[in-house]
Amino acid sequence: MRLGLSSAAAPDAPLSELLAACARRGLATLELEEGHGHGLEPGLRSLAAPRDAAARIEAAGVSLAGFRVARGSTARLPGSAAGATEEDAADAATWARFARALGAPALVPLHGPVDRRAALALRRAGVPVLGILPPDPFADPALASLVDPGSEGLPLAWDADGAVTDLDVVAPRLLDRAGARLRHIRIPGGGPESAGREGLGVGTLAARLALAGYAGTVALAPSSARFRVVWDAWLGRRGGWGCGSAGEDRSLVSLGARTERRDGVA
Amino acid sequence: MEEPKADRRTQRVLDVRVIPPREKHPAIFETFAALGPGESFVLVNDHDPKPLRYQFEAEHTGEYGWRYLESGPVVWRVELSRRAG
Repeated sequence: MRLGLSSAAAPDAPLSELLAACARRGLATLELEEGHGHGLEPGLRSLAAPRDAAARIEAAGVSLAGFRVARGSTARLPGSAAGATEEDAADAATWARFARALGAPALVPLHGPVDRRAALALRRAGVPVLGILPPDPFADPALASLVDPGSEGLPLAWDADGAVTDLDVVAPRLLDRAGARLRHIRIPGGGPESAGREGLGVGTLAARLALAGYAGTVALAPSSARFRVVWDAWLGRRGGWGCGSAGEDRSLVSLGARTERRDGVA
Repeated sequence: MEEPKADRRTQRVLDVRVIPPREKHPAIFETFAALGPGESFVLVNDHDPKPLRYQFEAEHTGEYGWRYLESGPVVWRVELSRRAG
């Protein structure tokens, strides 16, 4: 297992800040999500930016786990419409050039039939793709069939969210069926939130991954945008408390002081 | 371009930085309990796991091996093994 950071932990952070945060926390990998402050997009006219980003990431001693397609944007991917079109071919070629320049796979959510068609279309176009499974992929027979050995052979990622599924049930089944095709896991609620995540099965999950010899990447990400302040502090992006700015947004959470507010009640 | 397919039989890494504090030691001992004689895993932590070593010494005297692979200042890596025989 190689532990890393998702840009979801600091959506406004440029690449330099993400790399500095990795160095600060000894994190070995980085997951970049579309639309975040790193500014990388498959549709960029020049490939200089992804090439430069790849060089900077490598120079920082970090590996890029993948470029994650934002939820809801898979409709723009090739293959999302029934039947191949010329536009699809152009989109696929753009993605292929981008992924090559960045030197990382595309992480494509597999939430519905459109997403799955898009992931497979990108793969057919030569783009390295990891299909992202939701927390319980076995709840949907179409997804479960993608996990089974000998299905489409699509390399997989997994959003291991213990808040919405029982990781103790899903993890052993997924590790057994997906085997080495499972390459990347995002754990919402890791990092600075972990102190408040007792009982969600992350410890048992980590033990299972270790015993299974899971050699892929694990990206830490917030479970909610409400935790932005504690993540910023953990990543060294703000100097702590007392400057007056953090307290202005009362929807934000300080885990250390246990002052989570719900419905306006402290 | 894709992640290389690692040999899943040779790499066992338990990174406890991702684990809630109360679950850390149970996860470590659970992993150790599953090791066969001569097998090992690499424990990764964000501080020196000395208290854990004391606990191993108390509960698994003579059964375990402990070798530092990296000693901070940001990350500590310890190879924990189950002694053969």
